[in-house]
Order: sequence, then C-alpha cells, then structure tokens
Amino acid sequence: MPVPFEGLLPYAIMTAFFGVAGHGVGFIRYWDNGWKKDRFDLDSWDERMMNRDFLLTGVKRGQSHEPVAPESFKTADVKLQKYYSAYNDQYFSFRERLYRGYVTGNWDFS
Amino acid sequence: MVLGDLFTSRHQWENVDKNGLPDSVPEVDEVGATSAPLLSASYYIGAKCKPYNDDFMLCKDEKNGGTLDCLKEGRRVTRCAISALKDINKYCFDEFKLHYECLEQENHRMGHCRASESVLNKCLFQNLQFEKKIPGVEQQIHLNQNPIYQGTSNDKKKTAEFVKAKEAAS
Repeated sequence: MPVPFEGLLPYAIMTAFFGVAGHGVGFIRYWDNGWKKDRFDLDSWDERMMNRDFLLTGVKRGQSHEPVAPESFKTADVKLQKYYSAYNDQYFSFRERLYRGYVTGNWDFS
Repeated sequence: MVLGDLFTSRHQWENVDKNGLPDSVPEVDEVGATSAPLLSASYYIGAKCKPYNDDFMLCKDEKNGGTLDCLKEGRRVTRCAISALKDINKYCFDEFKLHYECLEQENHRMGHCRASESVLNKCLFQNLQFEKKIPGVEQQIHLNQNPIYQGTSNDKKKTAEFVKAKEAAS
C-alpha cells in the first residue's frame, strides 16, 4: 500500500524545524567565535593561552602574528570579580540594575 | 556613566607598572604572537633557540627552579623567540598566515593542517634553511604521505588556491 504524501507532511515539518534549530545555533556559535569553529577538548594550557590571546588582541578568538607585544601587555591582567545578588540575573529589574551599577560602577539606565 | 561620575571614590587609571624591575635586570619585550601563530612557528623557534632554551632549563635545574636567578637566561629565550618570529614574518609571512589560520579553524590540531604546513615548511627550508624535525620519534609524521587522518578538505582547497595564486604571480 503506498502511503499518501499527506501522511508524511508532519515528518517533513519536524525534520525541517529540527534542522533550522540545529543549524541556526551552529551558525550563531560560528559567528560568535569570529567566523571560526569552536575550540573543544581544552586543557589548562589551552585555557591559559586563550586568556593570553585575549589580553593581546582584546577580542574573543583573536589572533596576532606581531613578534613584539604592546607595552601595556607587560602589566596586563584580568581578574574575575563577583558580587552577591539575591536574584542571580533571573529578573532584569530596575532594582537589580541599580544594585549592579552600585557594585560595579557600570550604571545602566537604558 | 550617569550616576557613576557622582561617586568620587571610583577612579580609572592607565595600567602602567610604576614599580618596575631594578636596573640589574635587563629590559625585554614580550612576545606578541598569540597561540596559533606560536604553535605554527614552534618548531622553527625550537630549532633556532635551542641553545638559549637549553641554557634556561639548565639554569632552572641548577638553581632549583629559581625564578629570580634565571631572569637573564629567560630574557634571552624571549628575545630569541621574538627574533625567530620576525624571521618568519619577513620571509614566509603568507605561508605562515595560511597555516595558523588553518590551525585556528581546526582546534589547533597539526594533523588537520598538513597541506598548508608542507607549504610553510617548504618556504622555511628555502629561505631560512630550516627543516622540521620532531625529536625522539620513530617516524616524522608530517612527512607521511598517506596518514590515517588526511586533514580537512578546506585546508587542502585553500592551500591549492594559495599555490596557484603564487605560481600565477611569479
């Protein structure tokens, strides 16, 4: 018995939407990496080198072939800082933004 | 920064080290190349700077890993790496760029960028008389004509285009 094509339409729609979702996320990741593929299977050395790359270029996944680093690189450092919040970025409330501005100095009144 | 200016206790300053090292420690520039170019250049740096690197490691060994005792040797290592990178940028810049961009796309796996690597090695051999040699292995894997992992088609395509453009130019 041949199956009428109308019976297969839902499967075509499901396949199409799974494809759109997957390739869409893949595209966004590729774009977010500066049109490069994801890094994976990273050890602590890779992490260190990627942090160093960030200090040198100032962008995520940036690369530079300059032999000599700029003078500011000698003392460049990045420190991760945290502040306590009752709402862990779950609500974008004005109160939360006020608190964040008070703690970090980056006021956001948009 | 609207309300931020009202808080006089917040300061911004330029990140400059005011407590520099004493004059007894010579000044040195830092290596400015990032991870992918460094990996691409690593075998040339290793070959060119072998005496300085060995000297540094010997110093570390003798001084029981002393940080302050081996500053002079460490600075020589940095200076040598910079000079090696300058060499590559001067003579083989296009090939170098081709290889490290491939590495950056391929999660820094040398095995996936053999096509561009062979072009780079050829250029380094012609201009800087450098032959890549992996120490302490039975087989030099980069010379294997039929490896298990053949590399990516993208790398091969880009390398073929590069070679073609180079031939057309010359």
